[in-house]
Amino acid sequence: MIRAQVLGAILKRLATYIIFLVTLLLIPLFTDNIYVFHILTLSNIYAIFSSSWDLISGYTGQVSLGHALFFGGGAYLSAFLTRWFNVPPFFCPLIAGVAMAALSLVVGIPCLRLSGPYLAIVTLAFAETMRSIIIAFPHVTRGDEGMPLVALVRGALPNYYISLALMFVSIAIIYFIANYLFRIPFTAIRENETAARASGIDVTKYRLLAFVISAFFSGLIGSFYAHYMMAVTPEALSIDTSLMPLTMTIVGGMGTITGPVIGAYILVVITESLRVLIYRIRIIIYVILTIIFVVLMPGGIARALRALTRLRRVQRV
Amino acid sequence: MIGIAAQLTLYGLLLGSLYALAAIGLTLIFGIMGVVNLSHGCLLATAAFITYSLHKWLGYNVAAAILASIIILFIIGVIIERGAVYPFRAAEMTVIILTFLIGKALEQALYLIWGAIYIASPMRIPGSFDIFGTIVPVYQVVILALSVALISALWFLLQKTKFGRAVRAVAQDEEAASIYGVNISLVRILTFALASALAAIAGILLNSVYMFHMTSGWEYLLIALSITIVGGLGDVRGAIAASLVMGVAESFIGYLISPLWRTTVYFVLIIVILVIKPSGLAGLFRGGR
Repeated sequence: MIRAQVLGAILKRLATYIIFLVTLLLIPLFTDNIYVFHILTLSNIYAIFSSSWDLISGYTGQVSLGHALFFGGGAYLSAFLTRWFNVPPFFCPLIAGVAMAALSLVVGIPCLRLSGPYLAIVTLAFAETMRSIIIAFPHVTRGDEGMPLVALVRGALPNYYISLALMFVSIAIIYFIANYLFRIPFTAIRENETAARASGIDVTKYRLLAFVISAFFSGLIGSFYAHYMMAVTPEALSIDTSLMPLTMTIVGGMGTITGPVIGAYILVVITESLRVLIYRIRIIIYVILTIIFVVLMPGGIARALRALTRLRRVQRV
Repeated sequence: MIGIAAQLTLYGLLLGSLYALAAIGLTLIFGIMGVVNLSHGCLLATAAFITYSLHKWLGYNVAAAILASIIILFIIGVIIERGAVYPFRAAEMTVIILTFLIGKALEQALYLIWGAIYIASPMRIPGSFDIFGTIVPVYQVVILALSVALISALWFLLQKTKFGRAVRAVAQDEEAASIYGVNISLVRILTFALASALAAIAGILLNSVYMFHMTSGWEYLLIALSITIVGGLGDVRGAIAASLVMGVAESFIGYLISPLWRTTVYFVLIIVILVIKPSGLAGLFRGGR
């Protein structure tokens, strides 16, 4: 009985996932507007970035305020690799992901041993330091101007499909890791760290694991982003970039993995379609929106939707 | 040679004493509330911008502008404590996120009001004098004297007055302090407001040394954070010692290597301290635990 229920729930999630995928796959049938593809590609990119942030911050309760480090780090690594080492662009995202996972160990090991705000401080500091180093060597990195990159593929449509594929694979992996593979340790740490420790869960190990996986996906998508935009500037390492996954995840729903995807789609579509009107004030809109959600709706949109469907089910009964 | 070294040391002490003003606020807040206020750096920048425009746009004289912006920051401190810290005191990470967002909001407010400009402090003290061939600008001496006086006053406030005793009591054990009749809410509000006012003073004085930009706040946040981590989170004495040492180090590194490495050095320090002695270096000299 219970097993049937669980199976039903999994099937239902799978069905939603497939419907979502098919809808996005079919969008090119209805429009050939390049700007629509651009917005959707950006949404896919930020969806991966945000759900990777959710894995460390939403699941294991350690907030990273400098995820731009991995996003921008992956982007710059890609630029260096293609420019100096003639690495084919196609391999760059994967290399960037692995390199950023390794970098996350350097940051993560000293911070995650300690409980408290250290990860937030150190990631913030590391991202800012990286940015100032990039700016400090203009003859290598071209400073504020940024570096040009070769695109993975030409054209809006192929890029859209690649980003879509990347998103669905990454989200599936992150979702599987967070909700099936390490579901018990992650939720235990999030709900009560002391209790988790007392039950023999190696809190540091699982936090580090979440952090490394998160850095991998952020580096991967940062590299893809740079290739897609065909340029990378120090902006990719800035606090503004770190703010993006935070806002999208909190608006979408922390600790849900699907929430950040919803958040990314909503926010990117709104900001990009109103770009002319609100470009100057977009950051403050993000900030205010996030504050509103933290204070008034800490579950985000995903949890609100879930509560809504549950409510309906109760009414039906 | 000695002349240059003396000049660099003076400059370093000046920077260090200003960083101390910023770091003491941060460390006091951590000691009392157990949270890190990530909007602290942006308070410095906000104060500098408010002073600048009160003087430039509204024609206040410099002293009045400084005083007014300190009072404004004091009030902002009260608002942040009541609005973002107190209601979420049980959830440390929420407070971190909220203060980060408040810092970002302040930075964006500066951007929307003033644009991406660099400002220099309206407080200008001309002149310099010559001691044994070392040229000492008057403003450096004045600022150093001001901040040393402030730090001493603060030390007196924390050690000798009733308020200071209450603050230290709450930092040690909030429940016990409240049993002994300390008004916890008031201590929290006043500490946060005091810390914000100190940040304002640090920002205004630092602005006469460095130019300020809307994003400068984050740089000073990182500097103050690394000082508090080196000194030990929540340790006022450690923060003062660490700021002086790091101010002098920054001044020498800036002269000998390059000023570009300023933030990098601070960052490397954070990591090294977290790896070897997370409770801060101050404990080492006290036969610490």
